[in-house]
Amino acid sequence: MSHIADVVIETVAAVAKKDAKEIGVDTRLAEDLMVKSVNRIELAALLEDRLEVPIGNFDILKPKTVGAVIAMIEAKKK
Amino acid sequence: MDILSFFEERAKKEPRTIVFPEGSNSVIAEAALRLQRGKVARPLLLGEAASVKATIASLGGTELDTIDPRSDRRLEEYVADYAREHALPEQVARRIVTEPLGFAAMMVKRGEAAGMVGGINCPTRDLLMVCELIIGLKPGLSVASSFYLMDIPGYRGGEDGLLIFADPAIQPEPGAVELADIAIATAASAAALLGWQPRVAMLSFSTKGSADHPAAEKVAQAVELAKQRAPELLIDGEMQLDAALVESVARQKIHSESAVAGRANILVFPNLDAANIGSKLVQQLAGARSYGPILQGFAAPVSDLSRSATPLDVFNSAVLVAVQSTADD
Repeated sequence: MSHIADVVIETVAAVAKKDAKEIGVDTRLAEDLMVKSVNRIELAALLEDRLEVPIGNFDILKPKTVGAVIAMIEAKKK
Repeated sequence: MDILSFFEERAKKEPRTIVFPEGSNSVIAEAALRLQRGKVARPLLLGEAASVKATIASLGGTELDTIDPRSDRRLEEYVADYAREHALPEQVARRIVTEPLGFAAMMVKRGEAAGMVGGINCPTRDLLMVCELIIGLKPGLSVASSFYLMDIPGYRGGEDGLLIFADPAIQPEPGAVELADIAIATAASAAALLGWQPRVAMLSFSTKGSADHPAAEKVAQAVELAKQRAPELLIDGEMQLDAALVESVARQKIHSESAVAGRANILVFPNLDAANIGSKLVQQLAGARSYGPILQGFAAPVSDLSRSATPLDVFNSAVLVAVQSTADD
C-alpha cells in the first residue's frame, strides 16, 4: 500500500476513533465509521498537515469511501 | 409596530456583541455601522486588518471594532483550547481556528460574542459545519434546523396572523428523531423569541392514519418521540395542512381531543422539499412577508446570510441573533 494510503487510513482512524486495522479502502466514511460531515473539517485539516496538500471543505465532503479519499489526494499530488 | 421594529427595540435594551467573520465585505460593514450607530448591537468585524479598515473607511466610518484572527492576542489561546478539546495537534487546530469562520465560532463558544452572522462569502454548508463543530448543538438536539416566520396579509389564524414554518433550509430528509428535534427546537424558538404558547402541527398528506404509508408513519412516530421528550409541548399529528389550520376541517378529520388541530401556530413539514416549496407558495401566491430562514439548535445563535444579502438583510439578521441571544438567557 502507498504512503498516501497508509497516512489516510491512520488519519481516518484517528478522526473516527477506530483501530486502523479495521479500516480498508472499501470502508465507508459515513455508514461504517459514522464520520459526520462536520468531522470532515478536522479530517481535511489533519490530511493537509500530514500530506502537505490543500484540501477544501467541499473536496472532503465528496468521497464516500476511504479509497475515494486516497484517490482524491493522489490526484491532487500529481 | 412591525415584527422587525419590535425585535430592534428589544435588541436595543441590552445591546449584544455580534461577530461577523466576513468583515471586509462592504455589505457587512455597512450593516455593522448601522448597528453600531443605532446602538442596536456591538459589531465585531473579522478579517485582514488593512482590508477591513479600508472597507469601513470607504463607507465613511471609523468607529467599528475589528479583529485580525492571524495576529490577535487570543489566537494562541484558541488554538490550545481547540487542540485540547478535540485531541488534535496544535498545528491542525491552528488551520481551523485561524480561518475567520473558525475564529468567530470560537469567540461565540467562549462567550466573547453573543452570536455570529456570516455566510455572505461562503456556502451555507461551510458555515453550518464550522458552527456545529465548534459551537455545538443545544443539549438534547441531534441536528440544527431553521424556520420562517410568515406574516400573511389578511390571515387571522395562527398567532395573530403569523405562522412559523419549519424546516425550510437545513435538513433535507429528516427521520423521525430529527423531525422531533425540529419540532422541539421550533417550539422553543417561538416561545423565546415571540412569547407564544407553541401549538405544533406535524404535517403530512395523511391525518391520523388516514393513509397507510411509511412517510406518514414517520411523522406519527416523530410526534410520539417529541411527546416523550417534551411532555408539556402542545403537539399533534400526523395531520394534513387543512386539519392543522381550519377548525371545521379539524373537527371532521380529527376525532380525538387536540389543542393543536385547527389552530396551529407552528407547522412542521415532513421534509425540506415540502417546507421550502410550501413557504415559497405562501410568499408568492399570498404575498406573505417571510423572515428567515432563522437558524436554531446551535448552542448559541448563528445566522446564515444569502450571498445576495443587502445591508438591511444583514442588519435584520444581526438583530434576530441579538434577540435570540437575550432569549437564550
